[in-house]
Amino acid sequence: MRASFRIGGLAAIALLACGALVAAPLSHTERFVRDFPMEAGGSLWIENPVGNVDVVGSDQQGVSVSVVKVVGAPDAGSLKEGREQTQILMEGDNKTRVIRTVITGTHESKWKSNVAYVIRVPRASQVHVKGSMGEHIRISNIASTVTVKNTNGDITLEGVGGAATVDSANGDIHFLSDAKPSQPVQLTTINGGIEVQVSGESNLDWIAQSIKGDFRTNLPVRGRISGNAFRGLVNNAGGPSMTTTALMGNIFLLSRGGSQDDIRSVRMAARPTPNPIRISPVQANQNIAAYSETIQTPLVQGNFMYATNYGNFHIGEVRGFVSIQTGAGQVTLGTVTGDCSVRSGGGPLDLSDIFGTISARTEAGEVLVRSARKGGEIGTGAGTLRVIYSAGPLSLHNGGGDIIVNQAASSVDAETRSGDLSLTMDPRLHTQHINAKTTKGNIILNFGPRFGADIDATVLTTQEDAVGIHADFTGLTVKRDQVNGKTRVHATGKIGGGGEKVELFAEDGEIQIGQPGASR
Amino acid sequence: MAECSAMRESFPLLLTESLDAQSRETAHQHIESCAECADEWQGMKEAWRMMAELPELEPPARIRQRFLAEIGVAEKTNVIPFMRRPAVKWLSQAAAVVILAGGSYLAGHRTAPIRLQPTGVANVERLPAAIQPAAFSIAETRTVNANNINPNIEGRPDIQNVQFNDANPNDDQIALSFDVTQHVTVTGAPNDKSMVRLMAYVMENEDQMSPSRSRAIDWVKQAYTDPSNADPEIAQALAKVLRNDTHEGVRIKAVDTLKTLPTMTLDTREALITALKNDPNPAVRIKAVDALARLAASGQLDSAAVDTLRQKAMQDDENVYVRTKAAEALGKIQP
Repeated sequence: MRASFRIGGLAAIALLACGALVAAPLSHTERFVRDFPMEAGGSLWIENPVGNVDVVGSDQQGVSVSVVKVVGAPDAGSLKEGREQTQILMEGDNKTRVIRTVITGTHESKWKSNVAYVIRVPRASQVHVKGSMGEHIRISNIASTVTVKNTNGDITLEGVGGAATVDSANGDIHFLSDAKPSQPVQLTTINGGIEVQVSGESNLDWIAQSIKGDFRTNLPVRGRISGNAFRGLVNNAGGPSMTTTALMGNIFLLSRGGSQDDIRSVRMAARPTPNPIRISPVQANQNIAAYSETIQTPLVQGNFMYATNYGNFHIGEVRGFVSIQTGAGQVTLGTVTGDCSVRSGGGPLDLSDIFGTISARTEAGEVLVRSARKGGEIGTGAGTLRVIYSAGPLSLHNGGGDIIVNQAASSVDAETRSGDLSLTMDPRLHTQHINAKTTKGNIILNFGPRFGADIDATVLTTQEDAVGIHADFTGLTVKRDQVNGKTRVHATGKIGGGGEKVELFAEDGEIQIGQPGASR
Repeated sequence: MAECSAMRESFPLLLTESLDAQSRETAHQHIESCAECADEWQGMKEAWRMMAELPELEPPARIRQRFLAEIGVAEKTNVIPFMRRPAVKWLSQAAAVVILAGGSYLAGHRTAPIRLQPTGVANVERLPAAIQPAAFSIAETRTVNANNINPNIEGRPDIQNVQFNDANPNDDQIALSFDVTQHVTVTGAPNDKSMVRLMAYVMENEDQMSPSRSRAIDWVKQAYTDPSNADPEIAQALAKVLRNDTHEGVRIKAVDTLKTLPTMTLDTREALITALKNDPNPAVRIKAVDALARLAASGQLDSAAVDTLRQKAMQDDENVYVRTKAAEALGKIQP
């Protein structure tokens, strides 16, 4: 029995390990088996950054470790270096065994190595595995605590009866058990999915979280969704917690041996009413799963309305109005013939040519509006906000970042908490109301030679001798005083015979007012 | 007394803010402890202030020409600052510098730190040299080739009105203009060490109140994203701005530019990771993640950086877009 376990295990892992390095012109393979005594209830710690790990619980005593180490390199010198710099260390005592692959090379090394382990331990052992770039980590038939941390590669826990904690970055996680779980289980993956199969009679406190994915089950579930998370009971109360987080993937909680046909989406089932969001008929099929979407289309005939937890929108033209709400994601719109309303929890907005009024805001990310023909309200919680051209009144707000307007043909009201404000008015303008405020940064205002206005500019600064306000023209009256320990520079005056009020306020910055062609 | 004499020699440089930090501190400590030097210093400061407030009168052409002829400078103007300084006021101040510097020279024959020191090439028009009256020439503008100046910037010269010019994008020449005690334009290839140091200096030290820092980062993006101009000092300077600047718009620009640079040092990687962990502005964090994703794809992320991305992706109170970008970056990790 023992011999066949070893031979079969070695053959399997040798195949896997060799496969990855088969492309290398030179390779070297080492195979060996080590046996150690270990007490029942002892701990096994495994660290292997470059290969697979299989741990199998058995009723036999002691630990048996089968190792296949493969090094591939383009030349003999690199191969030798790779063999020397890929070390396998086995340490510890009867209570705690530590098995580690130690690699001292860098990512620039010419050689590559892969180490695969098949380890048999007493079933009552605690097992802790730290992997990184293997194809899989598989742990089966363990009655005690299991923890696994990995970056790439799938993780499978089968027949694990103790508490389990699994943390992966890019791999799928499978938790398979014929029994009812009696200990808490916590499964986390960022870019992978999660599949849990347990007895259909399991009682669980199920917590699931996913930004892009869905929660699906064929077990009886009661609970509620809050944002990206679901919390509910499977069957009856009193069971252990089953915490499943697959940030970008789907989560399945299934009855082992249950019907695939009974699997349903918890998100869809939890919707209180039919989806209130409607889109134009040609887009109707896109409304099926509005928890995560990437909508890319050259043309929408008619209005476009959409709401989603996470969505990226890339639409060339909308012949109607637009209303988009997304929890996060990029929004790129070409031409919109009607009004345009966009709300995003985070992500850049790129709006090209908007014929109607704009109402757009993202909680974080850059905003670029190329043409706002009727102006509008545009904001970002943080990021650079740029408007290339606006023909209507603009109201701009930035929670942290610069505001840049390349050509404004109407009034501008702009405010940023920390960033520069750069406003260039249409050179044909005679007068327009401007209100610009930054609580940490500079204001640069440029207007044409015909522009007339009543200027009221204030700089508040800690620099006592700061000039504060620079202008390309004469006629401003400047006063300086102290306010709350800061120097206030206040300039007022008329330009071009006066006109609408231009109010500028900059704290911890300067104001530069430029009028090409003006004489100082 | 010898100490007083030495200190007084440095007053003109102290007045023009041209002393390095240590010398400046030493000079101020001496002034505080020596009544005579304090009087001298007050007098000098008062004279300087009064000269700055002189009415803006045009001197008679004859006097102006004679003055310029005596100091061996022809009038020319080829770089115009945003705010041109009144010529008379400027001339008065410049003359004061010459007189004070010359006086100090005659008094002590000592040398002091020289900022942007010329290397002595024959036809180089000099940047502000100190205490060498014979070599000090005054003109409204000066153009210096980057190859001809020492790349080591000593002390912290107070430079103003910084302008960048890439007159012909098809050649490999750029220009950086600024005012020190006269208007200087340094021309040269972007990868000339002096040009690199000047760019880095402007980004790191330009007046926090001035828009020049922000513009300087735009210039860096314009000139240094070309791999042939890559220089780790530029990346390090941007990393410093990213770490230290309190102006969020500037930090956004810094991280945005950093991610476009072809060179990435350990220092810049650390700055990106720190920004992702700690920067209060989510736009900075988004761009830091973008930059780290590029590194992840090239296998240049260590386990600490990977852990930071994991933590960020799983951080419940983080902006959802930042979390998804961190997840996407993790998805690009190569062994």
